[in-house]
Amino acid sequence: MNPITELTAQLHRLRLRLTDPAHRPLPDITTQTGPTLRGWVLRLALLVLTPLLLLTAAARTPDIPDGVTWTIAALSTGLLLARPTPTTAGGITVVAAVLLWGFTTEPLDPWALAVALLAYALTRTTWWAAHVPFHGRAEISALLVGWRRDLVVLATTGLLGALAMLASGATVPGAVLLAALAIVGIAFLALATGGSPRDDGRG
Amino acid sequence: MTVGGIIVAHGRTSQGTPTDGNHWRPTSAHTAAIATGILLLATSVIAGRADIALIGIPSLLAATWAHTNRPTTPPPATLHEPPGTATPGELTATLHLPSTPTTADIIHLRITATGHRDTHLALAAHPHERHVPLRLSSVRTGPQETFTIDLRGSRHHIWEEEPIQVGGTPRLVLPASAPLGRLPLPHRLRGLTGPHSARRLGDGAELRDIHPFTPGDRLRRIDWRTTARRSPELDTLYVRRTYATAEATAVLVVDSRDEVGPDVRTWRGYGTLRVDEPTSLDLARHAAASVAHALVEAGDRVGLEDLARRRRPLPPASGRRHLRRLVHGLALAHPKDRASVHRVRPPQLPADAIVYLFTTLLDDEPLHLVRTWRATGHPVVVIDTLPDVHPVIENHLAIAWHIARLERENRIATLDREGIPVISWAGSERDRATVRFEALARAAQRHVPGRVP
Repeated sequence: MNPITELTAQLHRLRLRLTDPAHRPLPDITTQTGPTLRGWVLRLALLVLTPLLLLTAAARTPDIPDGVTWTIAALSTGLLLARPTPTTAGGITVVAAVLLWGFTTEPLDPWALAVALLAYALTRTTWWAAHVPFHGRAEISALLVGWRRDLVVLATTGLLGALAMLASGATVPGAVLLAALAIVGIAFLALATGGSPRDDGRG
Repeated sequence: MTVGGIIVAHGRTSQGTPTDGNHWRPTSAHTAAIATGILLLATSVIAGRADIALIGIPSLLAATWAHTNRPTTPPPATLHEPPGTATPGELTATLHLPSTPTTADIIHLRITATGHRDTHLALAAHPHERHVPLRLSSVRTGPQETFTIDLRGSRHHIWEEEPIQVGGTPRLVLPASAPLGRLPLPHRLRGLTGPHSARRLGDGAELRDIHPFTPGDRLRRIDWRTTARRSPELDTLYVRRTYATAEATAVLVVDSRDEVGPDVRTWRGYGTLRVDEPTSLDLARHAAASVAHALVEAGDRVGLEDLARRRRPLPPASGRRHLRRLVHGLALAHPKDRASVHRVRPPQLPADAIVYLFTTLLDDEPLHLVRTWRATGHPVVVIDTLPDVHPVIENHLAIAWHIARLERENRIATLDREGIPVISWAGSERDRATVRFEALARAAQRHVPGRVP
């Protein structure tokens, strides 16, 4: 066959293949819910949170080379995106703690509160990413379920941190103390406005 | 459980076992949080660094809190579907999620339906009960499968429940009807009443002639003006004679021996027909329902024959109740095993009935049927219900479709030569069908005996 004719036929077949109606995606089932987020948005949040956690943890440790930190962040992010499981998130939290450790001599670094906050956010986001497929959807109101409990947990962590800081005799910056007090206040406000004594964030 | 005639499968796991007991269990999130917390606490003790312990505390606290709030009841869920039949594009249901304080705070749903993409949803179990409306995008008619929902509750991101399955029932989707104008009628009309003018004299509205009064004529038919003009002495009385009215009989013959879609690859029976594209049988149901609706609305008698099923046909009758029977019968028409390989016997038809044959013309049987009916004096209108076929990429299928298409075109040309009208109902041709029917009705009107030739 003439090469030009053959090429034309190939192009025609390629065009047919690209425009084949049989390869259209199947139709969706229509559901009526509140505002939702797609599963890929949660994975995007993981893509941001994981390096942020690890870089925040490593920021106070000058001895670690940047290349090592970035490599660890990239590997951890890739691992969490590939396997968004609670175990992976726990492992990355441990890695963040090791980076924070950093072999410095200070008994307590207030920077750890920010790392704890990020680690908790990463754990929650990983749970959601594990439960909502890439093209699945999660209602925003479902994402906010339990926010009072989360606030109380974080406030308690801050309180414990402040107590540990006082016990260790370390100097506490005024801003950190103010932030910790603010979180504690908001947490108690959340508890006070909660619907039931065993509040679980159900409005 | 049955709600409003719809079966609601509730409270069974995906394996079909009942979920009477408490199937809540802590997940790996709980284990991971505890393990991470303890590991970080141990590390902090070894390193003498309290800040390392702080990192694990939030997860540890949340897990401990959640562990003390063990849920006790499974999330109750029921699927409510509208009772009765459905129309195309109206396959809906409502998922009812009652609120219980001791159950899940988040509900995960996987909603599946034949021909649709799976839908994954995570919903908040609100303090009040929730109703989640669901709708399918199917344009298909006849018996259709509906929703299957796998549902799993979770609480505090720690507790999870065994999935349960909530399922809908197969539903019958009745074909819709498109408005049609006038339709071709049989050459001879029957009966003593009806919407059409017959050739014989009788009660009716259409004037035939002015005739001298004869015994048997009704006095109220005397035309006094004509009598005064033609017979001033009143020697002869003149009456206005009119044509009698009568009704037409039509039989809808649905060739449901096969059901093919626009994708040739599915014609072998291996592929899955898309639900957002009508098949040949969907087009046949729609066309037949439209014709039946137009005829019954005009007061004619309509019967139904299904070529694939050996059952009692619907005899011709009129009225809205009969129209519902016809539409229901059309929705139930479907291919039977080996029906396409059997030789079809022409159904017995009432005398003077017109035949509307709905077929894909993919084999010679319709031709054979049409000739048999024509030989016995029945006028026939063929409605071509083959959907617009998508272009084929595979060489062997392209060749096969090319041959089948040529054979089909040959059959249509043969019918055309023999004076049988063939009206296409697929795609854009459907809009022209009304005009074609109107043209056929006008052409037939010119030859209706009884009208002044």
